Amino acid sequence: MNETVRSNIIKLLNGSLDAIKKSDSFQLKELSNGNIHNASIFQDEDSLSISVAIYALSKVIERTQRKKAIVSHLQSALKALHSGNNAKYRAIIRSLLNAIKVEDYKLKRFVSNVIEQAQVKKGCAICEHGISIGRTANILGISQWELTRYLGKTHIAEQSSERVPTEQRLALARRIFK
Amino acid sequence: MNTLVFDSGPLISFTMNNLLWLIEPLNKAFKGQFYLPESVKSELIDQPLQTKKFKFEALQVQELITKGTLKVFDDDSTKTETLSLLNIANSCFSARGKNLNIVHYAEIASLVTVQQLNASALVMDERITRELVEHPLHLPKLMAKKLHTKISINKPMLEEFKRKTVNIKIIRSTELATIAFEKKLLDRYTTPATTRKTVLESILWGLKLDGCAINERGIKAIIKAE
Repeated sequence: MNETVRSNIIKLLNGSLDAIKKSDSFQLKELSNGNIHNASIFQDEDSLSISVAIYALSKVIERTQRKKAIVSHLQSALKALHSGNNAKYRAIIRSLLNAIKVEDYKLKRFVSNVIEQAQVKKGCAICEHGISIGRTANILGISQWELTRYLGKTHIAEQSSERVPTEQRLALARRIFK
Repeated sequence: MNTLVFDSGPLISFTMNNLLWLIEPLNKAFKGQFYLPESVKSELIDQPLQTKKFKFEALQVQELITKGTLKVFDDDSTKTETLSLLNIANSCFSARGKNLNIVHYAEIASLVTVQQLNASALVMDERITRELVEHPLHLPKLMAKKLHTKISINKPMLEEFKRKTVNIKIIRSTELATIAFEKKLLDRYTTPATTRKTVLESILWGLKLDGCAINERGIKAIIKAE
């Protein structure tokens, strides 16, 4: 694991433990958003999975009865990172993601599970940071259909460059279909 | 023969707006062949067919391929060039000493297919690949602002990318829908209480809200032009 990624995840886990103690879902969301910079640059499994997990936790933490188990997962993950045991850390995060899925199921959020929602939300943030839809869908393992549709509902397209104005593009389309 | 190459985005936004039927009359009006690269087909159809979500949408696009309205362009002949251009594209910018992988194989395969076929244009809604072709220096500015870090530009790589993509013209699903509007293909949606412009405006917003990267000014410009 890259050293920058490792030290950021340690900070993120410490912050998350603090937020969970206070049941502060907003702080969890902010922490997950803050890690998107690393996820966009390094595009590594560890930055992506922890961003998704912490965002998903922000959605369930206020209603869960299993806060102790979640805290225990995060503490074990932190310990594994401090001891440099990356394999153990990854296994704990996988287990945490499964625990969130189970919790989400219990909370009866049937329409779309909280992990999928978190993946799309994080994917959207990565696209906003300058990574293409195809690349983002690929690194997060989500569908381009899902990501494209979600992106359309955001303000991200408003940041598009106007180097080729719409009028010019339309003129080109007219020439092509003349 | 005239050719037009499709990326996945426009077919997604057309499908989501129940406008996929337009591809066939547009193809007739074009008097040429519509293509999509094999890797785009894989993202658009093969992957959703493995799951339950977006399966029906994928089947609708598949129907156009079965009918021959959309022809799949075999990636084998472009693979070497696609991988080379992908490597160049993903080496143009770096942050914290790491090259930024900003685009994916299928997006670059679309660009290479346009070159290979000498196509009239690429139909692409995706903003990052489009900007990389049309206005690459906007990207590091955007990324530096969003990532709060310095973005380094690898000038030789960027020049090489520009050189290889210089002739590529891009239109979006919104321009394609506007052509359909001008050819009166959308008149079936007008009613005594709904003007043609209202129909066009609703379609352009529908496409934007389902992923076409066009800003509000762009939509207003099209409405004004009609």
